[in-house]
Amino acid sequence: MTAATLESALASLGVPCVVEAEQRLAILRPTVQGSSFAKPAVRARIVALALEHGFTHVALDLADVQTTGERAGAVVSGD
Amino acid sequence: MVAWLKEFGSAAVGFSGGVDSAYLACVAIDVLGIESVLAIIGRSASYPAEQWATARAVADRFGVPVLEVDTEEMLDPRYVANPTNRCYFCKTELWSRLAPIAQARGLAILVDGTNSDDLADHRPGAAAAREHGVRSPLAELGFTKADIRALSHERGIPTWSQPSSPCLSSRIPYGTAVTPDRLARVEAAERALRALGIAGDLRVRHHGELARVELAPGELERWLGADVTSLREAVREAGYARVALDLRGFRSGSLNILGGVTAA
Repeated sequence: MTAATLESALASLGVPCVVEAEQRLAILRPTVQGSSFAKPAVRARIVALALEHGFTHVALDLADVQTTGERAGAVVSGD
Repeated sequence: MVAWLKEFGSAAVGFSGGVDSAYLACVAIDVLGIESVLAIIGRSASYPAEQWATARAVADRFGVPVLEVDTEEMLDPRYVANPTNRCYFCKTELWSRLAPIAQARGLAILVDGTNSDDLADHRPGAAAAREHGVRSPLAELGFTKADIRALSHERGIPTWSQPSSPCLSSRIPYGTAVTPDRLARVEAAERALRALGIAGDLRVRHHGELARVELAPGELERWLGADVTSLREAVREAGYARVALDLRGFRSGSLNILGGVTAA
C-alpha cells in the first residue's frame, strides 16, 4: 500500500492526483481540474484501483476541486 | 410481539428516537398501556440533539411516557480512549443507570431496539446489555430493519423513513480519543449539511483536521456533478480545515472497516 504507486495508476487512468495516505484511507487531490469523478464508471475504476493498492477508503479532497459535471473532464483511458 | 410483551406486563424501553426503539416504544404503549411503559432516554455529548428532538416528538405524538437521564461515559477513560469495544463501555454506563430505574419503578423488563440485522454487526455493546439483563424483542423475534420500517409506516410512526443514526462517537476512528469538541464538530458539520438539503444516510467522519463526508449514492452523484463550494464551506464552518468526499459513499460501519474490525 503506497500512495506513490496509486498515484501512478491514477495517472495511467487519466485522473492525475496527488495521493495522501492516512492508514488505509487514500485522499486524492486532483492535479488538473474537471476530472470526471461524477461519472460512476470512472469512480468505480478509481475505487477499484485504490482497493488494489491496499486502501479500504478513498476520498476526494475538496480543497480546490471543481466537480461540475458539465465542465469538460479529463479523458479517462478507455472511457 | 404482542404476546411477548404481554407475558411481561410492563417494560422500560431504552429509547433513542431511532427507527427501532421508536417502533418498540409505540407498540409497547399499545400493548401494555401508558401506566406500564417507561421510555428512558440516555443523554450525553455523543447523543445528537436532532435525535433527541425526534425522540421527544415521537413520544409526544404517541403518548409515550419519557424519562431522561444523563449518562457519563465521557468520564470513563476506557470509553474516551476509543478502543474497538468502545460501545461496551458506553452501554455499560447506559444500562447501569437504566436498570435500577426500571427495577425501582417495578417494571418487569428492560428492553432495547436491537433488531435481527444488528446481530450480524460488530456490536460490543450487546455484551453490556446481556450483563444487565436487557432483552431485545425485535431481534429475538426476528424483526429486520426493513420489517420495522414497514411496520412503522403502517402505524404512522414518522421515523419509518429516518436514516439510521448511531451515536456521534461512531464518526471518530478507533484509537482517536472521543472528546466533546470532536463530537460537537461532527454534529455541527452534519447539521450544516442537512441544512443544505442533503437527504438519506450521511456521516461526517473525523480524521483530525479533515472531515470525510459519506453521502447516500444519489446525493454523492448530485454533489460530484455540482458546485461543491457550499458543501465544503458548510463543513469548514463547523471547524474542519479540510473536507473530503468519500468516493464510495455512505457505508455503515465504515470506521470498523478502516480500523480492521470488519472486512472491507
